[in-house]
Amino acid sequence: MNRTDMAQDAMTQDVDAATRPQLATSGEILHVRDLSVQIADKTVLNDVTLDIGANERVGLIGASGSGKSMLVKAITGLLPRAARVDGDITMGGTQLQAGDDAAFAALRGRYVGLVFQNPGAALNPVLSVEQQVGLPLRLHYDLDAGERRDRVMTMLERVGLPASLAGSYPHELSGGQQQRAGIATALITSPRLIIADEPTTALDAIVQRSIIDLLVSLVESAGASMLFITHDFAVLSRATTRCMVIDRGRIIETGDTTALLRDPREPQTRSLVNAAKTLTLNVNPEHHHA
Amino acid sequence: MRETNEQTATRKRGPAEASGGTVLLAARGICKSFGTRAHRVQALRDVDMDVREGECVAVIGGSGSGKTTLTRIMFGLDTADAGTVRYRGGLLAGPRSAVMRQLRLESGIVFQNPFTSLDPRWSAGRSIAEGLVVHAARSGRRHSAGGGEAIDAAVRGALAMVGLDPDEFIGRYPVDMSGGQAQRVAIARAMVAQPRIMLADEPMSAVDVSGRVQILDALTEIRRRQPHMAMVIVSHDLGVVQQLADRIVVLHDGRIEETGATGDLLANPQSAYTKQLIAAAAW
Repeated sequence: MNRTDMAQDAMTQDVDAATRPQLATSGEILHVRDLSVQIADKTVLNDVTLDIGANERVGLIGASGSGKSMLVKAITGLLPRAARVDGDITMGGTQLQAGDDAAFAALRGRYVGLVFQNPGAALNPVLSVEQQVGLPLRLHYDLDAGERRDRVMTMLERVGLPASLAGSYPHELSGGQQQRAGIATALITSPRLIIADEPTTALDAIVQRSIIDLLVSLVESAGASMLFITHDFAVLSRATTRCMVIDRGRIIETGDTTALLRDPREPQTRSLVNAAKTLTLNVNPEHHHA
Repeated sequence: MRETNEQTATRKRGPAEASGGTVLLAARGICKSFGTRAHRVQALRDVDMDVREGECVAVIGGSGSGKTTLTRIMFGLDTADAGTVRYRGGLLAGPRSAVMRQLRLESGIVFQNPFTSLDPRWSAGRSIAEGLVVHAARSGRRHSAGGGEAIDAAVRGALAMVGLDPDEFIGRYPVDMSGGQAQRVAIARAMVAQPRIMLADEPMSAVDVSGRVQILDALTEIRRRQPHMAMVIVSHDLGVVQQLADRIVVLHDGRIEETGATGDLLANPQSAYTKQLIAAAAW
């Protein structure tokens, strides 16, 4: 059994076949073709084409307002009603039509898990950690309360949250604990694709590093794929192997993460990379391990 | 005389940061806790810190380490449970004290999120001018008959200092600005009255990399033009701190973990926590 098969086997154990809704199987997790989005006559995405394959961790970088978050919203069916959408999105073998809320809702939280920028705002303030993490299971799977609780407690352990926090509410958690709860919520259904939209921006460097390492290890061990949106290039190089650069709604460059950061082709990418280099701490990290 | 916590920590690192200009702002024995009696969180534990004329001090540490609480208390935006803050030798003794009024007149503050700190209904020009008008009124100074022109010139000068074209930005509203542009307007607002001391609390955390570089450039230019102004920057962005600060104070769990000259501390951190902080930022 190879690594992917083992991961798939583990996923099947998490949410067994009897309760898993049928999805078309495919080596490709996400296809986007010629996607354009207009909101109030402003083009926010322009002819975007991208693929994410099985087990891939792909970064999406760009300046503020370049269209990163709009692309996530388009992929997950969360665009505002006024948006005009053209192009094709295929996820898990299902071709999705703009406005087909039921089709998108069936995939969100099940095929695709979302980790958001500000966990304090993303978590429901009136749900305990256990209720929050168990919510996707409640929405998508027919499990009894005991079984659901078992899965939630297992997931809390995996993300490094002690069982004693299961009854806590978001305001009682630190930023890092909140984001661990957010990751647990995204991964509880063993989705094939994780979309992480700047998940560490609100966290300090030490917590940021631990959250990235956790996310990458969980995604890898589950055999899932990841689309990682960030404007922190240090995080990008740690979390992804391939990356795309978006500028004014258009994908302008794509390639191996290390190579792209070392030798950016497009002027906009060079500008981003140079800015990131300016802000990089210039010390030898080998000297600073406690 | 009692030796301060900061002096104790400083001595371990050497005398580099102990020298310098006159102490403008001095905190001694600051304690602060939050929460209910049953769930008390001790945010600051007996913290001492000095800020000297002309220096830039960076306060770094993880989330919840007490960075923002300490600097808010030092700039009179919050009160300590115990301890004292002195500005130019005078005790900050409540919101109506003469020393507090003096600190307010002579300090500029830049908050984390420009889109919540700027009034969305005011143009950049009006936001920046407001500080000048209020400062002039409180200090008893009035602009001359040509006051409108003097204010306009000061506003334009402040915009230019942070790298924004005055003609383009003076009438622009926050909604039409990027994060970096809005934060530079907020910096211009803090700088327009030429403060003696400035606090910037995580001024770059809400903007992207390009915006961060613009803000770094603006703060660097301000330091170049106003070499006597003291600056306190709260940040967990050590790349920025490395370029901007003369001295670093590391806070951890409400205590000063370590303090020292920037280059020295980043190259040779003494405490395990500081090493961890630098290693995490340097990846």
